[in-house]
Order: sequence, then structure tokens, then C-alpha cells
Amino acid sequence: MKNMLKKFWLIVSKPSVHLSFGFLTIGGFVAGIIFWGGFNTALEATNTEEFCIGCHEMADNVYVELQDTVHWKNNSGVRATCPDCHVPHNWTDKIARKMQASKEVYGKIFGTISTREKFLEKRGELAQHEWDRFTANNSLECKNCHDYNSMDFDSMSERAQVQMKMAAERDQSCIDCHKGIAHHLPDNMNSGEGTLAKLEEMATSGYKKGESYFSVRQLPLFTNSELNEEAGQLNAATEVKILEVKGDAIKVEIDAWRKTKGFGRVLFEDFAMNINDGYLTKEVAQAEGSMTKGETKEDDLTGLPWQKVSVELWMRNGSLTDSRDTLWTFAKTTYDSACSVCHTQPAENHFDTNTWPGMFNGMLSFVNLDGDTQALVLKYLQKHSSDFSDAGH
Amino acid sequence: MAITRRGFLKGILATSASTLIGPSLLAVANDAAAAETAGTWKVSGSHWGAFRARVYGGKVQEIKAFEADKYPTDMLNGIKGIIYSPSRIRYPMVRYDWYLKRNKSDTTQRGDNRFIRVTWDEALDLFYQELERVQKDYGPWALHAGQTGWRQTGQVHSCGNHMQRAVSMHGFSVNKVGDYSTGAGQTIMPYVLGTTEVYAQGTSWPLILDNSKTIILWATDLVKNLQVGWACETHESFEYLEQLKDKVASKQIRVISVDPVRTKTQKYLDCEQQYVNPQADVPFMLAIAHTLYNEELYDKKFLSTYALGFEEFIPYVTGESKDKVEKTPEWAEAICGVPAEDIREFARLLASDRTQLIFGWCIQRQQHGEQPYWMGAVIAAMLGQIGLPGGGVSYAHHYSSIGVPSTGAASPGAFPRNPDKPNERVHMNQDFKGYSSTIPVARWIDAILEPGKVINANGAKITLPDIKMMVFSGCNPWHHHQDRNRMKKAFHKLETVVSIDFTWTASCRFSDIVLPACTQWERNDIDLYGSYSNRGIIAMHKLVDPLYQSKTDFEIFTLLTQRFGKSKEYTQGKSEMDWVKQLYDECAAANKGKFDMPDFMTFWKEGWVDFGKGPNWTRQAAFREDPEINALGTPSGFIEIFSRKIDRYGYDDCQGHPMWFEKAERSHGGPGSEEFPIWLQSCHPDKRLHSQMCDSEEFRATYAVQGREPLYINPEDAKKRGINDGDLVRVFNKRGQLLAGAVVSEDYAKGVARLQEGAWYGPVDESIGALDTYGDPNTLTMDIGSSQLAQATSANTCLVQYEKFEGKAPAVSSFGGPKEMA
Amino acid sequence: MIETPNISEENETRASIYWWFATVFTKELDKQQLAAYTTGEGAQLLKQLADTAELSPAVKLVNNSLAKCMALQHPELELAADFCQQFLSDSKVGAPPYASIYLSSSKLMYQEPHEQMLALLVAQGLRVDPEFNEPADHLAIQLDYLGNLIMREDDNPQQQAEFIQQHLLSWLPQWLEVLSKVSKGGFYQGFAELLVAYLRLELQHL
Repeated sequence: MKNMLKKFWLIVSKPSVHLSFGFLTIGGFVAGIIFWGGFNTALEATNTEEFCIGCHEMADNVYVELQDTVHWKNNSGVRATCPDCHVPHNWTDKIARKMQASKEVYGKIFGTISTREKFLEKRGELAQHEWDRFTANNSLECKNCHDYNSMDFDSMSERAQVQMKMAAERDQSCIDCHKGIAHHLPDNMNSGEGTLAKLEEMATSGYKKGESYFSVRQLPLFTNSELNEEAGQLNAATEVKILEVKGDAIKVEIDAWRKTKGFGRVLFEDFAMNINDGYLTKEVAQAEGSMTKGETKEDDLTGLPWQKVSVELWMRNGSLTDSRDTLWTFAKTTYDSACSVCHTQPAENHFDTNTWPGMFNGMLSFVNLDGDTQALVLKYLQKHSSDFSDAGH
Repeated sequence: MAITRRGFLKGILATSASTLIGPSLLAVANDAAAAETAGTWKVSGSHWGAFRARVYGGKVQEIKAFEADKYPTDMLNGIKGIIYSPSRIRYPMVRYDWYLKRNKSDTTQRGDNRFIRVTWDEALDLFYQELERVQKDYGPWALHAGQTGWRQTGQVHSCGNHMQRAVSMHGFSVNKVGDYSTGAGQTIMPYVLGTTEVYAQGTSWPLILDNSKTIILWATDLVKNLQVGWACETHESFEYLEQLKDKVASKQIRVISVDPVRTKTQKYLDCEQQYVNPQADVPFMLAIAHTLYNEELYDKKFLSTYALGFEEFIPYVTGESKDKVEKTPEWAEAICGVPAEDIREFARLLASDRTQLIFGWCIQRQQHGEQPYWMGAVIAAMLGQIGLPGGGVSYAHHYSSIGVPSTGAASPGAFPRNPDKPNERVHMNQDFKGYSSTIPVARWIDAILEPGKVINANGAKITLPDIKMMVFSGCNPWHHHQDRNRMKKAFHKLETVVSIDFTWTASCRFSDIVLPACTQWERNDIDLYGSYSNRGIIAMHKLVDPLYQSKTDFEIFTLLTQRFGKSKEYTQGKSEMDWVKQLYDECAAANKGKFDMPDFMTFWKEGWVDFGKGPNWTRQAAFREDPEINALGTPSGFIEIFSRKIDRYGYDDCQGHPMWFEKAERSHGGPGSEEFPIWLQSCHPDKRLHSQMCDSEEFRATYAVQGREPLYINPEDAKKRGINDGDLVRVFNKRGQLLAGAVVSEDYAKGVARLQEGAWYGPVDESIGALDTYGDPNTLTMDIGSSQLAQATSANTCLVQYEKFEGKAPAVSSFGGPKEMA
Repeated sequence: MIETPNISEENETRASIYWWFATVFTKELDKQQLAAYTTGEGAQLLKQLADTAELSPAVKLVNNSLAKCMALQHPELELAADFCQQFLSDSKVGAPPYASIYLSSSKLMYQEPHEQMLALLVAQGLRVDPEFNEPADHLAIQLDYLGNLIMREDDNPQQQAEFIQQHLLSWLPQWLEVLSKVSKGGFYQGFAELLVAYLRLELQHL
């Protein structure tokens, strides 16, 4: 009978532990009270360049770096000093900034950035604070001098025009793109952990004249070997033939098609296929002699006239690879992972070449791809679309 | 102790009953459980909003809206009802007859059958054996694991990703393209404006509020639909709707709702309504185009710079094309019910100043649903305001915070949907035996019923595959597909159906193997909040451990993939929390230099990261700025009023330019309206996310009528049928019948009725045509493709009749597990 | 393990009977257990219980339905399917054995009865076995607890009676009513009736 009694009453008495709760309830901080009058007086005193470089951390690091930049010396004779960029001109923001700057002052007192090495180590963090601030105030200090409304877009290069107009329309924060213009960038940002670096890694070197290569990303094109007259932009994974190598510059030939509606600025890989090879400035697109024009055909599906062209332009020696295979592998991996976040990604050959741009653009809302990668993935999809493969449908 | 008191026990223990007594159900408590006092507040999210939950005693005690959400919805009140619903699937179960006979089971018993409980091991073995059998005996064409639904929120546990990753590691299967919400829209718009439009960010609300003089809400109910989001919703849009309300009141902006129903938005904004007969928007729009053209109110310069094909389209309007019918306002009046002069006035108003057209999705969920969207773009092109702030056309301002400026921050990715080694699946057979490997999403029932049939879809020929086995995870086709009785016939042909869900949906009841997933609040996860605005990232703390025998999707499919040696590839050797952390860290890396994100542990403790407000943005502004460089994704790169590409397909039901096509069924004098005079609208529900939360009993009781889904009807229609508010009604047509509870309201025009989709299906028995006891509109809807182009769902092409229900009403059978009904 | 020297044989029996009931409502019968009810020790146990007039109608119901069931091709699966429909589905199609469903206004799971049971368990340093992972107001957990209460060193008839009244007979009659509608005289309805009759009998003696 005892063997039936498999269970026993167990009385366990344990000391009770009171769990702390509410670590997530917010609002628990106590706001300090600032006595406005007295603070303001002290503020003016600290608001000068001398004050800022009064400590060697500033003088020996960021101040020296500034002196090599356009914000220090330029043909207009206007110089930006520390407080122009780093102390907000708006009075209430100013107070907030001073409060934050005390961290760097603390850094000095306790010696966390007392040597160049220590400073460099800390630079990323310090820079990030500044970038965050610029992001938060939409680059207010920059805009005191550089106003979107007073920019003359026409005098900018083509590529800059496109970028700046888009930025202006959204009143984008300058710092989004222009980092490291007055001081050096933190080290790890140059070593590149982003996709740009991954793309660059795929580039080969030692290009041979007469051979064909493919761009690993979007690249600027120039009309001259000095590379200072902008001619347009080469798209990612675009085939170019090397005509001439001249130091840092290479002269390339792009065989493409273009639509002759408008200025004919956009280059396409093949007739009636919207596979972007890049674009030209209006001048280059319209200039006689900058390109060899071939046959003209009408695309039946849109009624638009297309023209075969061969363009010869200069670009920087680099960022080219001899085969698209590695680019395609990278693009496929990116597509399979990034584009399956919300749903099963459509097979590459589910759409045709000209349908892909629309479908792909519609998928970009929830994926994190930079412009170069987007361009590359789109081209990959187009080059593997139903026009090129009919298996599996 | 007086033994004699219990004489009835005498001698009972003379026998040993040891085999009859199982192990103890109680164990020694650990300290924490005994020590808890008031509980802990945790952070989580949902389609309905972000919230904080107080958890005590292993139970969610209290839920309150997240403080950053200034406009929380009352649907948060339904969450506890989901977690603690008695309709939860508590154990793995297998349909009895299927358990005995497997793929040779009597499938006519589906939906009316007993189940038996099995262990997880047994259930997963059966699941795996079926995958094996189907791959070996048939091939990839016989397995369809491609249907996915709205899932629960959370990027790590996104259930479709888990199921498809695991199933793909085993072998290939049939996939789908498109979805039930926007099938027609997302197919037609790339031809016209170059993207799906339905899933694209729209012009920011501040710009609309500052620049629009007129806003046309075309069949869109912003206030209703913005309550829910694809990711965790925090309702930023409502701030702008509030401002819009003020501007309507002060007559700074004129808002007109084009709709046969007075929408929630119309009533909220106190704006005007332009009534149009159901499904007759296109004639109305053609007449608008006619007026714009005849009165030269259209922007010729815009058309010549940015659009193609106007010249090929306009003869259709002027009556110089094949049909020789001039699309005058008088012609349209007869169909759309809007007086001709009102149409002209409406057209003039559109052209008079800055006008923003905002379309909803309902009008593309009908037969020829491609046409109103295309025609909307044509009108917008004629008005010439595409690319201007507060002008042009949008198709998604009702969806997932679209219109709230995007911060541009990177959002967390997701648990990978695809296998890491796609070329090393257990079965590499890719021979689909001539069947198509991808089918339009809404045509799978066609495939089951008519395998081998060749249909047109978006320029391709699709050979419908002979599907034998289906796998659903967090997907409820017995809510979202059309025509229940047709589905019943199709399910008789399926050999094996596997469903993974947390609650007994009708889809589970029609399945053979049912696996209990836990709810999203029983696992750790991470999500984006603010959807399209990318406003921030929210932690989803596990509120309680998985209840009963339920498991996370991650665990379920880890165990499944173990059975074919793929679990290491599946998990990548990472735990649930490793994945949460990885998604966070990757996101932080992507945001580096732009948006500061604290380290993971800080984030997890705090519960969220806020990216602030984004900059304003105007849709198509870049295209307007430079149409050459910023070409649209259309074949030509321009707005295509005429699409040669579609024209070449040669479809009679979707031709080279937008046209008016009569519907298979149309109310207000259209085909079929003599016998079934009422148009049944099955729009997105006000108090659910599709079918999600219908099972939350207390919350359902706040809107149900006599325990049934409300049928909203017109007072005159009701009176004619002797129906009073609150009566039970039987709604029917030749496809099916259902019970619903009448809500009589002036908001509904004569001949119009609304039954919100997502109402759970619960037929009285398994027979074809059986009465649905709760009020699932898809008992009545038609299962036809929108056209040969999109082949999308046509749920809103549906006529019905209704009558007062007399007699004893059968009990609602929609909520709860399987049973033998006959 | 703690020795329990003062437990009477009668209390052992009583506790065992509650654990036996708990087992019945915990899990489907396997083949061996089913055999025990047709010819083995289970059958004997039932027979002995049937000697008491108050219990005999319920035992008869169990035995009759068992006999019907044994005539079918897969008796244990038939019973498993019954068990599943009656206890593992929800309150609309079955009679899930949770007090919350019958006692709380919300009709949800994990309501006040669960919390009350939890409090009782916590007070004794106990919890539901994680393997079982059911709310604490599951009938089987309540019966398991009752068995343990009986086995406690102190003689506590008053506590036992209160527990039966407050935590079991507060909802079991309602449950039985629902169950008889869905079970239509089946095996588990017989057991449920037997349990309720037994509890009432016990109350008279406590």
C-alpha cells in the first residue's frame, strides 16, 4: 500500500524576496532649476574661440585639423571659428549645449583625452555627440551660412545638383552627408564597415588597356583627365572598356543606348531595356562629338525612339572589377535577406527587366539599403529577369 | 479519526491501483514565484499599439497604452482576451480520421470532425513525414506553403518567415505572388506610375495640410484603418487628422469623401460626402475626365512632359473609339447615380486649386479593380499636380502611418525567411512537371479544384499546380479567401493540411495537424514602431511564458528542422535572445552616425529607442523635378495613361487604358440586382485587425449584436423587410448564407450593406451551403480574379439579399476547437 | 522526502482516490490503463465504489459507455477523441475543466479561481509542475492539491471540507451540466458524475 503513496506533502518555507519593480516607469528624474540671469553672463564669456582652445585638447587636436579645411581658409575670406559651428546661436539651445560641453571639460579635468592617442580613441564618441546634435537641430549652425534657399544649383556639378536639390526639398540636415569636413573623421569610419567598403573590396586592380571591366558602385565621370569637369555618373555593375590609363585617371568607353526624348541623358545597357548604365550632364548629353551615335530604333512597347551611343569619358582609376559574378553574388544575398523581411521575395525571373524598377522601388520602405547597393541589386534583378531566364516560372 | 464514518471506502485499497495514478502535477515552488508582490511593468507592442503591461503571478494583469502613443485605440482592451481566450489551441492535435488513415482520410469530414491530442514529438514527426511523402510521391508542385497572413508583430518571430525557412530547407514548393489586400492595385500601378503605390510612402501630412485646398478621400476611411499597422502602431497620423479636422472647420481645406457610405473619417472630420453607386466609380471618373477635357481644365504641358498615351486614351472619353460611347456626365449619371451637373462641378473643383486625391484599397478589391486606380492616376495627371506638395494622387494614406514623415532611420531586419544554403535542401527536386511554381495569391482554390488549368496573369501563362498539401502558419485563409462553400469543396481534395496558430480559427478546424504557437506576448522580440514613419524601435518583453503546451514559432521549427538535420542551419546556433540582440545590433550599426542607439542591454531595459520626427517629403517630387534622371519605374519611365504592354497582353478585361467594364454583379440596377438587390461591402473592420482579435470575447461583445457580427444596413431597406435595429438577420445569395445582427443606420445608402471582413466563420455543419452562425462575409463573396491582369481578389463584387431571421437561432460555432457536429 | 508517520490508512486511501480522479482528468487513457478498466484493477476499483448506493449510477454510466466503446475498432483512440473534444477544446464545443470558465464573468482563462488556487499553492511553497503547465484552477490540479491536503500531518477535515465546497463544488455542477450536453452519456461524463457524487459523499463525512 505504501508504494501507492507517491506523493508527499512538502512544506517549503522560503524567505520572501521583494522584487523591485518600476524600473521602466519613466518620469522619475528630477529636473534641475537654472537661474537664468546669472547663467547668461557666464555664457557670453565662454563664447569665444580663445575660450575654446584654452585647453590643449582642443588646440592640439580639432583646432589644428580645422586649419587644413575650407572652413579656415577660402577665397571669400570668411572663417568659421569654433563657436560658429559648435555653440548654438539660439539662446535656449546654447544653454543646453553648454551643459553638455561640460562632459568634455570633465574629460580634461580627469584626463580622459589628455593625449593625442586618448583623444583619437575617444574621437568617435565625441564626434557622435556633435553629429547627434546637428541631426537633432537639423544642422542649424551650418545653415546660418549655407542656406538652401540661397544656393545656386546651376553652378553646381550635375551630381551635386541632384543630391542638393533632393536634400533641399526635405530640408535635410547637412551633417547627414557632410561629415568630416572641418575635422578628421574617426578612424573606424575610414576603414569602412559599411557596404561601400564591401563593394570596394570587390574591385580588382591593374586595369589593362583594351579590356572591359565593370563598376562596383556608382562612380563619377569626367570629360577631362584632370577629373575636374563633371560629365555624369556611371551606374553600378556597368561595363566599360579601358581606352587609356593616365596616372589616377582612366579613359573609358561606354557602349549604351539612350532614349532620345528629352535630353537623352540616361544611358541604358540594351535597346528598350531600362537597365541603367549611368547618366550624363545636359552639356555632355547634348554636345556633338562627345559620343558616337549609332542606329536609332523605336521601342514598340512604349513608342519611344532609342539611339545607340558610344561615349568616351574619364574616370578615377579604381572601383572596377573584371567580372560581374562577385557583384551578382553579393546582390543576390542582399536581395534574398533584405527583401524577405515582409514577405517572400519574388523570384528574379518573376518579372521582366522593365517591370523590376517599379516593383523594386515599391519594396524599399522597410529595407535598409544604401544607394549604391540599391542600384546594384536592381541591376542584378533586371539582368536575371524573365527576359534573361525563363526557367522556373 | 472515525473510520466508520466512511464505510464507503472500506476495502477499496485491497487492490493496487498503481497504473491508474499518474505522476504529481505539483512541484516545489521556486523563490521568485512565492515572493512576487505587485508585479512588474513590461513593454510590448502589437498591430493595435504599443503598451506597457503589469505582470504578476505569471499573469498579465493590466495593460495601458505606451505614453508616446497620444492616440491609443480601444483595441488594446482586447489583448488580455486574446492571451486568456478559452479558444486558444493548448496542445498539438491531429484530426482523428487523418490520424488513422493519413492522406487517405475522409476529407469530407473536414471542419466537422474530432481531433486527438498528440505529443509535440508525434505531431512534428507526422508533419515531417508528410513533407517527405509529398516530396517523394509527388514533388514540389504538390506542396503549397506560400500562403501567408498578417502574422503577430515582432521581427524575430515573424511566423511566415519561420515556416517558410523551415519548409524551404526541406524542399521546394509552390509559392504565391501578391496579397489579398492590394492584389489589383499593386499589379496595375507599376505599369502606370512605376511602383506598387499601395506600399509606398506618401506625401507628408504637414505638406498636405499646408498646401492642399481640396482633399478627396476616395473610398478611404483613414480614421478606421490607421488604428492598426503592419508593425507596432503608435498612431502619429492622428495628430494630423486632428489638424485636418480644424482646417475643415475653419474652411481652409475642403474635404470630400467619395463613398457610398458615410465613413468614420467623414463623421470625424465633419466633411462632405459625394455619394457614388457601389462599383461605379470608374464611370464617375471617366465623366470627370470628360469634363476636364471638354472644358480645357487639364494641364497639357504636364501631360506632354510627364505622361504618355493621353492621345490614345482620350478618344475613348470622347466616344471616338471602338465602343462609340461618349463618356459624358449624363452617360455616367445613369450608372454612378451622381447627377451630371454635380459631376461637372466636382471636376471643376478638382481643377480649381491644389487637390490631393487619396484612394483607399476597397475599390481595387473588386472585379476590374485595376481600373479605378489607373483612372485615378489619369485624373491626377490631367490635373498636373503630381509631384507637388498637397497635390497629385496617393493610394495608401490610410495604411500603417503612411504620410507621417519618415525619419529615414534603419529599422530592424527579421529572422531570415530563406535558407542559408538554398542549394543544399533535403530535396533538391525542382521539377514542377509543367505546373507553375508561383501562382497569384488568390487563385490557390482554383488550383486545387482545377489543376492543370492555364490562366493568364500579368502577362504570363500560369498552369495551376495540383496541390495536395498545404501548410499555414499565422495565416487564416478561412477568413481572407472568398466563397466558403467553394473552399469546402476544394478542401475535400487536399490530402494534408497543417496549421500553426495560437487560437482555433476556422482554418485550424479545417486542418489535419494543428500545432499550438504561443502569442506574441509569450516571447521576447523586437519591432519597429510607427511603421512607415520609422519612428523608433520597441522591445517586446515576454510578458508570460508560453501558456499550456504552446511554443514559439522559433522553437516549433527548430524542432521540425531537427528531424531532417537542419536545425543548426535553421537557428544558426543562436537562441531567441541572440536573435533579438542581433537584429538590434545590426540596426544600430546601420544607423551609426545618423541615429544614436544605446547598447542592447540599455535598450532592452528602457524598452524603446525614439528616432524623433522625420523631414517632410513629397511623393514624385523628384520625378517632377527631372523626369529623365528620376524616371518612373514604368516601361517608358513616364506616367503611362496608355500602356502598350498591357494592350499587347490582349486581355478583354484589362486593356490598354482605363475603361469601364460592367461587373458580374452590381447593385443599383446592375447585373443580378433584381434577385439580390443589396451590395455587400466587406471592408477592413473597425475593431479588429482583419480576423485578429475577433476571438477576444469581452471586446467582441462591445460591438456584436446578439452575439453575431453586425450587419450595417439602410433604414429604408430595413423597414421594407420588417427589420429593427438589433434583430437577427439572415443574409444570403446563391453562394451561401449567414446570420448577422442588424445595425440600422443612416450612414448606409439604400441598397448598401456592410459586413466587416475578419468575422470568424462558423457553419452549423460541414455540408455545402450550411448557414454560417456568426457572420463571415466571405460566406457570400465571389471567388473570381479581378481580371486576367492581376487575378486578385474581387471580394467587393458581391450582391446579397437579407431577411429577418425567424425561429431558433443556432449557437455561434465560430470560436473554439473542433467537434463533431453531425 | 519528508516522512509522514501519522497518516492513517484511510487518509492514504482518500488521497489516492483524489489522485486517481486527477489522473483521469489529466490525460487520455493508454492501452494498459484502458485494459485495467475493462478487466483489471480499474474495473475492480469501480466495482467497489459501486457498492455505495450514491456512487453506483455513475459507475454504471462509466461501465456502459466503456462497453460500447470496446466494441469499436480503436477504443482507446475513440476515448482519446472524446477526451479531446470534451476537455481540450473550448467551452463552446466542450467542457474544459477550468474553474475560471464557469466562475468568472469574463469567461476567460486564468481568472480569479486560478489566482486563488495559486495563492493556496504559493502559501504551501508549491507550484504547478512546469511539465503540466496548466492554470492552477485546472480540475486535476485542484484534486491533486486536495489529495495532498488530506496527506498533511495535521488532521484538517474542516479545511478539506471548505476546499471541496469553495473550490470544487462551486463550479463542478455547472461543468457537469455542460459536459453532459457535449458528452451525451459518455465515459468521461460518467467519471465526472462519479467525482461529483463522491465529493458530496465526502462532505457528509467531513
